[in-house]
Amino acid sequence: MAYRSGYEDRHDGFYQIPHLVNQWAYYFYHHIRERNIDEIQSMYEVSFLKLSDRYYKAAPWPEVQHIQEVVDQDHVFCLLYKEMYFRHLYARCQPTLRDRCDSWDNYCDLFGLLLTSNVNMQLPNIWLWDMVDEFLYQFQSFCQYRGKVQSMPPEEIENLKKCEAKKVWNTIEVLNILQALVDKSGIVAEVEGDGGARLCEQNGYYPHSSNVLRMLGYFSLVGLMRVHCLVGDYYTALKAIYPLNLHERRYLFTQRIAGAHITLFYYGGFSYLMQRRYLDAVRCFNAVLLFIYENKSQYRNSPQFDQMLKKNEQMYQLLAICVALCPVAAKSLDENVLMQLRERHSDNMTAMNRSDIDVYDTLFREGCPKFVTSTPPAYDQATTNTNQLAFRAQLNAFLLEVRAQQTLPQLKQYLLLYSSINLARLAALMDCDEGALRQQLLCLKNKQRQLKWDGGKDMTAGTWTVASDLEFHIDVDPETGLEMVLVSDTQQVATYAPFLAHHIARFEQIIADLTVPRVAAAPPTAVRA
Amino acid sequence: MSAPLTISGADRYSPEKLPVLEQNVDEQVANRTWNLDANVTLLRFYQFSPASVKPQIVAKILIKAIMQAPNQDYKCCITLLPERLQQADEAIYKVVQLANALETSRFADFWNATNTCRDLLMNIPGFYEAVRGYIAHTLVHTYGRVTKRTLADCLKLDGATLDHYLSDKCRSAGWSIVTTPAGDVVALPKNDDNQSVIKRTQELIRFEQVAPMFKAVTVGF
Repeated sequence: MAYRSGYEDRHDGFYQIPHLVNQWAYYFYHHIRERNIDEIQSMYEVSFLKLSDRYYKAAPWPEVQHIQEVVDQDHVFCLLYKEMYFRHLYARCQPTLRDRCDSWDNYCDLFGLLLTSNVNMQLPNIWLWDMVDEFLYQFQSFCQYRGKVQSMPPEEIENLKKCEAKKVWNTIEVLNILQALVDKSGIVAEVEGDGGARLCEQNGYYPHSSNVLRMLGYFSLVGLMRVHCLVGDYYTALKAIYPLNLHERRYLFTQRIAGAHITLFYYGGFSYLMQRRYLDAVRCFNAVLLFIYENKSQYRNSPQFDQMLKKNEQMYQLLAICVALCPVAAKSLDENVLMQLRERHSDNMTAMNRSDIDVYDTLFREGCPKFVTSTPPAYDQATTNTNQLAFRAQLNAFLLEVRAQQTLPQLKQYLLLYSSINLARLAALMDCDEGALRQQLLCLKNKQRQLKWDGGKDMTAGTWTVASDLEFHIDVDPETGLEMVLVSDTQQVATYAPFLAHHIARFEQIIADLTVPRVAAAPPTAVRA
Repeated sequence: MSAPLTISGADRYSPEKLPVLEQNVDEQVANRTWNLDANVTLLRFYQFSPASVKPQIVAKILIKAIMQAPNQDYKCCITLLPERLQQADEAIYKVVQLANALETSRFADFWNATNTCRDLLMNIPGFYEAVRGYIAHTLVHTYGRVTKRTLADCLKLDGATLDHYLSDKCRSAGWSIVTTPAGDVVALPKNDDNQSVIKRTQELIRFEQVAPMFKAVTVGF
């Protein structure tokens, strides 16, 4: 057992738990037994945090054996309590290898129990999402931890090898657990059947049955997508969330739980980005950034607020990259999102338009997920930190794509100036030879075409669309044999209707707000502004 | 020919499937089919257990992925490979160079690179046809008319083989040869991308855009 300083009184058997904490455990246990969802949620979200701040600000909660008598030694409650115990520990203290292994065992026990036996309890959906989220966070944390081999003492490396042998936090085990939750809950068949309508209607709490396995299955779909992204498998990430639909969101349950919704769209958008489907990526980011913008105020006091803001920032960075690589995508952005994007990244976007690779590098570095090196490092050849390997592989794949398009913005600038130009002359202007110019024109054409989702249940499907504001082609003049680049002239007629309609609606709203009749009980001395 | 291997759900994470998936790759090569799900699952297993990697199978998967261009299947596969593997194994390294050249339309570099791994590519039936099909596809979308010289360079065909290829395409794909004073020019089939299309976007005011305003406008009637 790892000894933490300040807790020497622990192992001489005399451990004093504050009375409030005992009471909390007692009532929490009884509410769970009696399925009082609102009470459970309030104790989970509010009371737990208050007690943590008061007694355990930088220390772990009491270990489970100290509260066991208060809760009738109930096995299931103890597993649930330990889950919260470890979550608090990871957040406020530094977990040791022992803690990591214990937490893994607890998750295996807890999920094993939920999968095999028929539990009858109802737990708040937010807790179930937090379970899956924390499970994957601890997985990422473990992979980061074991990568830092060179700073570990030899006994720790020995212990780590033993853990690996027992498959603690093994990637395939993690994936299998998530898949088992999905399969056992039958969530795929359920959502496939009615598109998720019943789930939304009843908020997941079906009467006379337990919501635990069903919702864990639902959230595990998002979890599977996350793990696939972390190992660089973007195609399966999008396939794994079947039957959830990123683009038709009417019955998407994740909208009720901000954390789940943001995670789903962050990883969804990132998967599209890495497959060069910028139109789809922008669509995902737009949807979720608008969601955050509209709902930010609701979550201001919740503990997830910081995490929301961080993901918000990351998504704006990724959005900036997408818009730089595919300028046409900006047209589909909501005006609030576009305005925020310009505020935060207008400098970066100008730099990216000049093909400044460093800016792409920085934005990607900060916006990308914390990739996971899915294999343990070679413990005996402890030389470098292996955490960077996975990240660098993805970064290099991304930068390769960026470099392929490096010379294209300059070419586009020249093409915009002409309606037709002789190939030889353009080559001279760009200071390159004709062969290289032909190659660049072909490359530009190729990069303009991308897959775009246009319906159906498969998130990876799509049709080829041209995503460009510049249309050109090469032709050979039959008389002279000269090659000409011809740029199409698209005359844009100004569209006033959407602009006017939008502003008419906004003004109507403002007028309606102003003419709301004054509340009758308002004091007569209220001053009208 | 057996039914295509479908991988879904828990199949994706059962390492016992490894031999089946490896055998499936050889079947895909022999039968000229492609199964992205199965191949991506195999590459994922290779990432999770580097000891069981078989580089020649990885090379085969990557070459087959290149043949799927313009689909981004190659991109889906390459992000699963650790960089160490990409650089350590010679065959994989060469295939990566091939793919990069093709992706950026550097066809001259591409054909030079194919010379270095000719024996590897000869074992994959249909490689050259697939790649030439992709190059022709890119050309069709960029050029309205293309000189025979450019076409020959891009497709790496010459003399009799080129003529044979062209006559084939003229028959089946709507290409045609136009003789000009400066040499032969091949006219490619017309599509949206290789013609001058002057688009005049007309403003169409749809009913849905105007409907919300009716309430405000008709108050008092």
